[in-house]
Amino acid sequence: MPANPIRFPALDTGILAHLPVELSIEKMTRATRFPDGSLLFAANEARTRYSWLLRYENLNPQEWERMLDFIAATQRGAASFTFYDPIGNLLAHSSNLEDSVWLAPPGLTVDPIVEIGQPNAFILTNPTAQPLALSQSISLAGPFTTCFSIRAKWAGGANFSLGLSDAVQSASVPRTAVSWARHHVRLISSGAPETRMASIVVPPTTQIIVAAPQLEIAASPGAPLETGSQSGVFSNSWLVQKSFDSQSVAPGAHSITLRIESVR
Amino acid sequence: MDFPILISGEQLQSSAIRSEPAQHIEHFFEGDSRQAQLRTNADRKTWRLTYQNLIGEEAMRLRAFFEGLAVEEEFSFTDPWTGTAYPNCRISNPRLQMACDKDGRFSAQLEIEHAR
Repeated sequence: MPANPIRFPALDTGILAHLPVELSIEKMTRATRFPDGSLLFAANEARTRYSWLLRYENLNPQEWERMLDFIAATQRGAASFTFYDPIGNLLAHSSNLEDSVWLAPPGLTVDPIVEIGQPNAFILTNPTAQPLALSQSISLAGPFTTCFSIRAKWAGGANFSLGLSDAVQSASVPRTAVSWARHHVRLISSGAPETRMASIVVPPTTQIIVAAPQLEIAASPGAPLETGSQSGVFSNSWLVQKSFDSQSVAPGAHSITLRIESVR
Repeated sequence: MDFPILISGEQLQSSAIRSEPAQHIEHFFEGDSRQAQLRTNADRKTWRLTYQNLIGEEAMRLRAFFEGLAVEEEFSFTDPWTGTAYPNCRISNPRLQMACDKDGRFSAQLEIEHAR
C-alpha cells in the first residue's frame, strides 16, 4: 500500500505530467565555512530536497476536475501526498540487481559481469527446466501508464520476456537479445491499482546479460537513470505554492502550474 | 567519483563561466576604517556550468553523479581553460537544476567549487 492515501491524478493519457518539466535537486545540511575557505558539513544531517515545476496546458474538463479534486484533497497544499518523479526511475537499486529489492526465485542466479561501455551489467542464469523471473514491485497508486525497459544482450542470441503487471492486468512481450539494445514493455492500467511489478523472465536453460532497468510513468522508455536505495517514488511530497492560479485558455481547455517539493 | 562526460567526450559545453571569488573577509570599524582579512586559501575558483540540448542519457548521467555524491564528497574537475586538474572540488550550494523540454531535450545548471 502506498504510504499516503492522497493520490496524484493521472491525465487521460495515463501520464503524470506534461513537458516541459523542471527539477531542482538540492542537498541540505548545516555547514560551517572557516577563514581558510574550507567547509565542515554536518553530513549525518544531510537531506536532499527535490522541487518540481509542472505546467499543465489544455487539460480537458475531466482532467481538470481530477486536478481540482486533488488540490482540494491536499487542502490546497496543507496535506502531503505520494508523488512519482516524472523524469526519474521508479525502481530502486537499478544498478545492483543483486540487492534484496529484486526478487530472484531459487534456481535463478544473478552475477555482476564486466561489460565495456555498459556499467553495472549482470548475467542472469536459469539452469532449471522452468522459466524464472527476476522482479521488483513498487507502490504506485493510480491508473498510470507505465513502461518497463532494460538493456540486454547475448552474443549468440537469447530469448527472454519482459513483464509488467498491476493487481488486475499484466503485459508481457517476448524479446530476443543479441547485441546491446533497449527493450521495453508497456502497461496501460485502468481502475485504481496500488502496485506495479516489473519482471525479466529468463526461459529454461538460458543466460542473458542485462543492465539499466527502468520503470517510469510513460508510454515509451526515457533515458535510464541509475538509482540506489532511493527510487523515484516520493511518499511524502507537498504542493509548495500558496495560491493556485488556473486559466481557461479556451472552452474546455484549462491550464495550471504546480510546484511540488519533497525532502528525504 | 569521476565527473561525467558528454557524448562528445567533453566535460562541459562552451557556455561555462569561471569565477575567481575575492579571497578576503572585510571588517568595517567605526571611523570608516576597513580591514581585509585574507583567506589562507589562495586558489578558490568556481565554474558555473550550463548545459543545453542534452540528450536524456547525458542529463541522467549528470543527475546520477550529483545524487550519488555525499554532501561532503569531493571529486576531481579539470579547468577547461587551463587543463589543470583540481582534485578537491564539490558542487556549490549544492544544487543541480535541470529541465526537460517539450522535445525531450534537457538543460542543466550547476556550479562547481574548488574546495581548498
